[in-house]
Amino acid sequence: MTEERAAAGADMELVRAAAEGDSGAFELLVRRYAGQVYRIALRVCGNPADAEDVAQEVFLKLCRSLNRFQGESSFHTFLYRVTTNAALDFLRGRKRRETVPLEAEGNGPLAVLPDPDAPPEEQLERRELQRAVRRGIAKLPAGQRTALALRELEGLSYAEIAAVLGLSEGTVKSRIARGRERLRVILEREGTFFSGRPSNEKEGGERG
Amino acid sequence: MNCRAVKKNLSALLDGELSERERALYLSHLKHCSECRTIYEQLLLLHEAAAVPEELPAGLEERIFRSVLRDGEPARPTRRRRLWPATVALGAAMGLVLCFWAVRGLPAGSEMTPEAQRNGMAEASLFSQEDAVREKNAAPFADMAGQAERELTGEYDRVYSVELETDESLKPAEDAGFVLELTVEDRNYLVGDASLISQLPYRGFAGAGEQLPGECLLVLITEE
Repeated sequence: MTEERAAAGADMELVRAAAEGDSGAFELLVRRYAGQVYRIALRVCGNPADAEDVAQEVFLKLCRSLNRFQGESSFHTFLYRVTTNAALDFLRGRKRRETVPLEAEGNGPLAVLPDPDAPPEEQLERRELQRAVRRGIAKLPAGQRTALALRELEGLSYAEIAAVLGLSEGTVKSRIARGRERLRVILEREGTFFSGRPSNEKEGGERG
Repeated sequence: MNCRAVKKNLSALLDGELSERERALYLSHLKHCSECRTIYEQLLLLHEAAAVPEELPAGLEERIFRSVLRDGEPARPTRRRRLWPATVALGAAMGLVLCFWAVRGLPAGSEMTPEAQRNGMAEASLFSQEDAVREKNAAPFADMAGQAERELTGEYDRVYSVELETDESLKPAEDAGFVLELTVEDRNYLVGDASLISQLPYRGFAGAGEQLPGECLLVLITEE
């Protein structure tokens, strides 16, 4: 926790320096946050090209707003908020201009949870599951995708997600619950859960 | 505790959003109910898979940084600038529209067009230039932000207003996209993104749209 706070403190130094015109500091901010911004945009928009366009726009907006941050929480909130709004705006724009079906085309290379001890078949299964999950997520409504992206990728609490998206906590809770249930049903119909992995292997463990 | 209620809260359980007491109750239900337990395990599996971040395309950060260098620059400490809004005046006025907009952090070098300066329309300001919108706390905007279905991004530096004469009353198009109709304190507002304005069929605004700075939120009040 102290590490996180130290990192957050260091970020504010960067933000301040960048606000003074230090482009090296701004470059460091880009390196630090580009991944997060891109991945959220990818989950919301559904394809890498759009996600990158959104990410560029987000950092442009960030660049113009650098002098308004009081502290790290406002900075992070801003980043999440601008990212989700830019991604959702992008989707609206797409709907108007063309009828492009929103399907994930596999979303490019996958990052696999490193587990060198796992047998190859299990690693393959995991990758397949990740692919299936991402395809399934792309079929959810935009609002559910957005709330889920913040929960799954960024680990935000319901209260934090509500603050970013300007929704009530109850709405966030129901979007996440509905999104996951819908995803579960999609994958169930695809036969994902009949993979031969015995169900008692996975304990219904709680997360901290 | 019936399964229907439990199923609604399985995500909250998984995300650690339940109270200690609720959590204990749900876990004990899951111990005895294989149907709910199966669903929970499936949700957990999906959650873990979804939490794996995608790999980033090579060179992403480079491209982003270079595009920002090209199109923007690190913001300098803000100086308050007066920006005369673009105005368009058309023939016989049938409708009078009070239009004001909030501007965020203008890109450097955005100028007032000569035409707008020439027009010199009287500026009827609802807010004084200096104590314009701060963050989202100015009353109508705070209300709007609360009422808008999506949050209207950002915090606005200043608000400008102008009276425009148009020869038709404003109505949003069916598919105008990001245009919201809101009523705040008995006044009707249309709120939209100025960058989309070319898509709005408001004849009186076709000209104004080209002159507005790229990034601003356009708020139109339709007067009775």
